[in-house]
Amino acid sequence: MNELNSLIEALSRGNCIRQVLVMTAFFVTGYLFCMACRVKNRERLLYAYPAGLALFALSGYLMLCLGIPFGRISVVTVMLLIAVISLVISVKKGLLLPAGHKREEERVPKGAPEGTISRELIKTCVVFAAFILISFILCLNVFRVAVDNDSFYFFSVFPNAIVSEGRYAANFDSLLTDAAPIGSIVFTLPYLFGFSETFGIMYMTDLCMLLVFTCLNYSCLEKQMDKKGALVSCIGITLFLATSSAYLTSAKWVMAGVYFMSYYFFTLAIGYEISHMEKGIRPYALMTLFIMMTAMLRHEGFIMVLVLILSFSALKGFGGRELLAFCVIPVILEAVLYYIRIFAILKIDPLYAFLTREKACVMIAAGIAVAIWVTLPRNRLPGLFGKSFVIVLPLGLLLLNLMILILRHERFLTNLYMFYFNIRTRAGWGLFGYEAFLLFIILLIKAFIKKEGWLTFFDSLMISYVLAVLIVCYGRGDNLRQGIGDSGNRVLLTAVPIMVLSMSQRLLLWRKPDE
Amino acid sequence: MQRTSSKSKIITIVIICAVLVALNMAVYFREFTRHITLRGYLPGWQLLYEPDYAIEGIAQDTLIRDIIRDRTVLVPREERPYSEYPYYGHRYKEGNLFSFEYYTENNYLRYFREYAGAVIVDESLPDVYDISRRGGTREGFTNLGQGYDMLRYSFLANHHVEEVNDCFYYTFQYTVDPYYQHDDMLNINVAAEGLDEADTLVALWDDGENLYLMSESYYREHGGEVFHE
Repeated sequence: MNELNSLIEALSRGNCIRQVLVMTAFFVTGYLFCMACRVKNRERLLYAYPAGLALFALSGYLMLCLGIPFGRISVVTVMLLIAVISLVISVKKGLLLPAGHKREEERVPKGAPEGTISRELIKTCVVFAAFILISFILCLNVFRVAVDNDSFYFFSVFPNAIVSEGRYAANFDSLLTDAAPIGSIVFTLPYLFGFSETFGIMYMTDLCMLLVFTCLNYSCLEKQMDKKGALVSCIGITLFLATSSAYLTSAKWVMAGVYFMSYYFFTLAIGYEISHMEKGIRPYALMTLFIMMTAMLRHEGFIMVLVLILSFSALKGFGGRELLAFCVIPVILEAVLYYIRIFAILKIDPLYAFLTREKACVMIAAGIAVAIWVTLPRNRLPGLFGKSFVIVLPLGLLLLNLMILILRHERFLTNLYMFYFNIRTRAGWGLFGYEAFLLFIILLIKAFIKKEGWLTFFDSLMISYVLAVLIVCYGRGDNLRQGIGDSGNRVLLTAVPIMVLSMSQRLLLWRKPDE
Repeated sequence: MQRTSSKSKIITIVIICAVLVALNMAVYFREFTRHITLRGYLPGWQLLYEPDYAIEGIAQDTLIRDIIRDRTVLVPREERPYSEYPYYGHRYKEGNLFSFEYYTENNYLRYFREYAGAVIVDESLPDVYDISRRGGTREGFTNLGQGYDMLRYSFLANHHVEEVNDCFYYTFQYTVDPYYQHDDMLNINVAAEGLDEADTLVALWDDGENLYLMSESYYREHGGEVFHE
């Protein structure tokens, strides 16, 4: 046994530093990309690492779908190209200003004190140094992780095979229809760059998500509370989320779910922020990057992203053309590419598959329907896209659920019962189910007393998300089951950050926000 | 825009959050140990494989792939396509006949071709049927457990269009079929001595698909007494 321990230790030499270097490369590439997208410096630092990881995963995904050899050289080449192009764009647009040069209005607000640019540079350097330090800590596996069979096989053996082949191969068979497409690509990192696991990468993604959660919550709360109250509240709420078993089950579990939960939230946050920005300087490219990443992180991600896009259409700040160009068309195209690759070119036809040709067609049809919805009727039925749409969307999804209930009541009710059972028996939920139920009662009483007959954007998204989960779990094909590992249970757990955000805002805000 | 936030409101928020956080942390460990399907562990090394797995006999695959990565593996025989086996074409006929020796002879070879740096066939090595099948392990080797899961995913490495090997369903052969449910089958054994520094490894297996992985130098030094019976 001592020899085995020595062997394990010898095999792991260099793994920590390699993982840290990869994470640092993601931060730098992501930072440059965000800068070229005209993201403000504070948000740039927040989104740099997630953007870098998304650039890697999405470019890998496109390479595999298009049949371009996928390996270390091609990946590094693409990432370098992105970094260089982003830098060139930034320089040409004057977004990269050393201290002492003429200020640009969009980087430095009018009336800002002297030395703002050098302060920004110092802040960036400090954050970069902190990032490297935190990466080291996270890659030393200070925190526990949770693994199960899928962690070892769907997200280890399969990604290893992708790297070995350098392409999607027909003999991958049902893993192409069952394993998360972009999720699997994230897990190719160890095999591309010579380390063994992705725990540090996973935890850094979690940390970024919690920071983005805090910032988004703060930006909403400070509109109706003073800064101190808003800061204290959102830190407390973030701590509650970060210590909640329902969040940690997804955050610590070495699967695609943690990335799906995080990137769905990144997309939500950047989309919400963009909707409140002036039209000239919106970082659409970043939103497109995140939404494309999220849509194919898991197979059902495509439907969940369509729900998010429909929710965005309720925000005043988004026009139909913007949503079509920067959200709907990119996610439809990337899904179509994948389906063509596996069904038409590789001709995958497993005996058992989660994703079938029929389901793929249904999903593309849903995407086309959303494309039509966000563009055509907007000018003709303004009421539905105004304040009513936050109610119309969840009602529409409720109607869909009722239709499924009528047509397939046995399976639907079984699934519904399994969701309830897993929450009640705390299968991964901890006490969150009970806390959320209690909070829901309090919110109902508050709404009744204060006559709050309105839904916010986040309320609508939370309800729509849960209803959409019921639909995709029905579409899965099999009945859900008891236990933490049930796929429906795991998908519903990814709704927790949105639930916490929505309910905390509902509790603390005293009037409907201007959305 | 009116902003409201009294001191008492802030204090109330802090107290509620503190209580909820304390409650979460109090139940945390108990919640996570309830779920036996999840292994929560604190990895001491930077590998997916944990030393405890050897005692429990699980997830050998994660260690084997780390061992063979970027290294040359010597194997005793070349791969044979299923069309050369007696029951080729009989799979979906009455009786569902299938040549199990197809897996026995070829799975490990395909696995190494997929995940090792290079594979070289050395016919001087003892072949599958030259090594007597036995349960447990052999002197100098550590038994990592039975590799059902390791081999049920070997179809990933199959480049032949065979009548059964492109189908995930066949993995039940390794997990359910009673043919494989024996102590003297599917054991994964590793001779750790000198393994971390070796560039070339030797992989042998018997007709029970018991794998023996070692460094070439270890095989040259001890292989005769361990395998040539």
